[in-house]
Amino acid sequence: MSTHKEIYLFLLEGNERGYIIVRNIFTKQINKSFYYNLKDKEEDLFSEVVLRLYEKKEHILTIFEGKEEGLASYIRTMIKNILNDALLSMSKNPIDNIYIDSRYEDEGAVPDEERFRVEAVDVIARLEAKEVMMKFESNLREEDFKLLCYMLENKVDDKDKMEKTLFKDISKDALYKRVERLKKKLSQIVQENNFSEEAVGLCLQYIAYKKCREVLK
Amino acid sequence: MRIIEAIFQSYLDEIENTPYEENDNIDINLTEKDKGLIDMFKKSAIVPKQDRITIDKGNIYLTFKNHIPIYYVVYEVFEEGIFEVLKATTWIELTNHEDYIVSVNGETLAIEIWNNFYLKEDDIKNSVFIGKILEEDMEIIKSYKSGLIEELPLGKRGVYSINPASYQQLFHKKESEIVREYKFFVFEEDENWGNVIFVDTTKHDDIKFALAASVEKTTARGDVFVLEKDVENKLIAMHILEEELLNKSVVLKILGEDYKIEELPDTIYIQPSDNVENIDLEEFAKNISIEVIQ
Repeated sequence: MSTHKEIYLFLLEGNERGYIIVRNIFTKQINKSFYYNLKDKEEDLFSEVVLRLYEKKEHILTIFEGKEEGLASYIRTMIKNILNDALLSMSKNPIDNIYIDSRYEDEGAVPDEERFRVEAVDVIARLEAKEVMMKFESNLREEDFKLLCYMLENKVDDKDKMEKTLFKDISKDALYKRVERLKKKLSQIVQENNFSEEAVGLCLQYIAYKKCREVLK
Repeated sequence: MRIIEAIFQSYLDEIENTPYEENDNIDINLTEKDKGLIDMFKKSAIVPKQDRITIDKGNIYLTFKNHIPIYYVVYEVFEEGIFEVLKATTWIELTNHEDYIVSVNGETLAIEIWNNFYLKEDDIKNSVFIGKILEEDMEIIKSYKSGLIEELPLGKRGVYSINPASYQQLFHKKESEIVREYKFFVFEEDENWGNVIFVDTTKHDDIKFALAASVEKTTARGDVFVLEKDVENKLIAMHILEEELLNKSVVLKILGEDYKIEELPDTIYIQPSDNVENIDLEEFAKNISIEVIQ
């Protein structure tokens, strides 16, 4: 009997071989190097996969009714979604204390059960923003960081003040050139690390800006 | 490894590696927990019955190319028996601001509004019907595709990203490659429609006239070809001038997209998504090149 059919019968009436096939798909997927960090949650995650299948079995059986193939790929996609969500959940807590405006202010816009998948974008953006900051910090000297703060300051008075205190020994022209050099350096870091513009924007607007306020207080 | 990198690696694994047969190692001993989980399914057997589905705009389907799952939404009837569809994806984490996120029957998908291709009725009938997206979501997709709105709503789109090195852009490139062969459509039964390439020009303002031009050129020359507008048929004919290129296996690059052609004919027809009359042929010609595959 085909893999597809065995899985179908597992969902339909609890066929044991179909269950083992699902388990095999799951085991091979979680053993891939990119899911290494989830290894110690293997049992819980597999239970989650089976429970998800149970919840959605009517939908799955209906859409695959009369089809001869595709269920193994479909299940693999579902497992991938669960593993990706688990990866994102692991990193969600440490960044919750960083204040970034949520992109999802309208709580009613998405049904609760699907919310996490849609929020994946939000979590990715926040997470990346934090990583952008870490990269900037490890690559920028103290002088560069002050320059970054100067760049981010949009109040004219505060900018003037910074010119007169932090950069009092250099001319405006030299300061301008330094800013240009820093922009180039930041752009290089962004390119080398495959960051998105949104992550960089969130980093500069919230994390870096807040840090500047603290450091230069 | 960064999380987005791990997710991107997982995506590459899905599209580049053929999955192994999963029915090996089948005779393992089941634990009590396994048996408990299986029992849940035994006790709740159901009889599934799907109603007859008619192909309709907004319907979401799943098909497979080799082993790669391809989700798509029916966007428009192109002509009788042929539909324009937009690729969709479950890789929400890798999407960008041009991908629109929808939920259908408990599945979250991002519609790649920029990634259209064409399918015949039978291909769609053989696909797995997932469900239908909401009318209001379809309206937003149409408005964005036609340029009526410039941005997709925040909270229903991917991460803003235009950096070509970003994972989101690397993902877009791969997504386009997956369905590339369905973008280059050959209608063998109709000679008038031979060799038509459908090109999404929506986002390329640089090749369009800013204002309706009263006197416009209807031909333009590239290095090895001539472009000619065929307004009546909404096409741009591309006549190949270099005889040495004919019948060669080539990659045609149009607006940054690659189209592989096994045997280059003397004329290829390009159908832009915008009105042909609005295309500035001279600018368009600058965005076309031909490379012979060795």
